[in-house]
Amino acid sequence: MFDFKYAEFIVPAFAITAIVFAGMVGFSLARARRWRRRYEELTRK
Amino acid sequence: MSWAPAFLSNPDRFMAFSRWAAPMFGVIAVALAAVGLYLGFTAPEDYQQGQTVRIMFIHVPAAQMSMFAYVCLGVASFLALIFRHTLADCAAQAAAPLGAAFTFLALVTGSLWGRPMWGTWWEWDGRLTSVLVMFLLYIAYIALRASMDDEQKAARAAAILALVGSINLPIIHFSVEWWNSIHQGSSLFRKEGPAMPPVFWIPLLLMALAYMSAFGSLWLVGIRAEVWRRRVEAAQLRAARG
Repeated sequence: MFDFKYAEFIVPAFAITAIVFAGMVGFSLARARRWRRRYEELTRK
Repeated sequence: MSWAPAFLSNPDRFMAFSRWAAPMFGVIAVALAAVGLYLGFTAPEDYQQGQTVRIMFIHVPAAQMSMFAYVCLGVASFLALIFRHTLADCAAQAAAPLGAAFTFLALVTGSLWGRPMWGTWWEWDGRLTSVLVMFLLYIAYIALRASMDDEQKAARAAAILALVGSINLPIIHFSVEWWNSIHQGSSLFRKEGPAMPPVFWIPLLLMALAYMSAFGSLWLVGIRAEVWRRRVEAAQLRAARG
């Protein structure tokens, strides 16, 4: 069971991992959504 | 599985497949990570590493995915370069930022584990240095693609860079055997079985599968974005030509 020993190393490791994953998911979805919308706008015209 | 490349070589078929496969891999990744993290945080502390063993559950999968993403980048670059395959080029382009992110995570979490265990944040040892070189290769690939206006020239130059850089993969893998490394050897996927009890290797395996599914999901989303971007550019070009 985690008892916060070495928390100064463990917490940043998990926090940075969470931030990078959030960034990867956010960036990937936003980029895909942006280009799909542009494509749909163009094909509608 | 020989049908897979032919099936996925058609962008329309790929878009139809990835439309359900990307969210499916995403859901699998979240489910596996939830169980893996729960088991990882309820496992007892390691007799040598103490509580820092928890970092292994995110460091090892990140390191594995950093190399797997480079394999994907290398194979896609090869297919794009030799067969001029557009979807393969999209796949290579989408794999690079993900690979860079996983390599960054492997380096940072490894450093956060190394400080309490080795007494140092960083050591210029074979494994650590070769992984840093891989990170720089990812950055160079992304920068090279962004630096040229002619997209086809940029794709060819970046593909050659990715293929030349793939020589670093066996160096990373065998670095712990070739040189007297501070880094330990493989402890999960070994001929003799995992070098740890099930209480550690089960959450580690679940997290490795979660990272693999997450990469699969994000890679498919990235390729889809790239396919749409190229379709938009092609449509704009057609409209400009009248």
